[in-house]
Amino acid sequence: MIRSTFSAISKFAQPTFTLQASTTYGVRYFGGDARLGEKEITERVVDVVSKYDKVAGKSVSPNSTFKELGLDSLDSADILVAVEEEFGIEIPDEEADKITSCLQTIDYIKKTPTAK
Amino acid sequence: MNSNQVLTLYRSLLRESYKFSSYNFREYSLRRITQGFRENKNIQDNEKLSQLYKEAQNDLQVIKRQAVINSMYSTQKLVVE
Repeated sequence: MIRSTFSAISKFAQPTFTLQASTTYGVRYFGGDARLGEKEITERVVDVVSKYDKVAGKSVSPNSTFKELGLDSLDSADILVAVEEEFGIEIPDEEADKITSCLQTIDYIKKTPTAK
Repeated sequence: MNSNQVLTLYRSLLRESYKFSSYNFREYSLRRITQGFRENKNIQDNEKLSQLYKEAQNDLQVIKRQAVINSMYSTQKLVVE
């Protein structure tokens, strides 16, 4: 009786773990280029712009300028500060004065390595 | 005083307001700044403009101080955040 119980347990107690040598899970490339992809930047910029109250209901494309969306200089300043918050960067004033469209915003973030 | 100076001040006010850790302070501050600048955006009188500019500069200093103090006593994020 005892012996048969023991053999039944030991049947389940077989070591079941196996090493999977082929998985690349958890590999990290330190020192790799941490810059964001163009697609992700475009998506996030368009997302920030379309969340702005005055843009509600209008379709925002990466090519649209702030003027086309009916925004004045104060509104674009609002959007640029929101973009700064989104990407954790600070756009210097000389640059911010030049930016008047989604595309220019995307270009600026593309050449900013600290954007995240 | 030109519009670039005003925009620079406007941007710094917004940037500093984002540093409030309390949702209510942050949202109030952002709302008040965006509204205040739009209320006065058609003013042409130079004297009035420079007076408003000075007031806004003082407010910027207030926001800077209060944002630091606010971050010392920050609490958990609200459900709405």
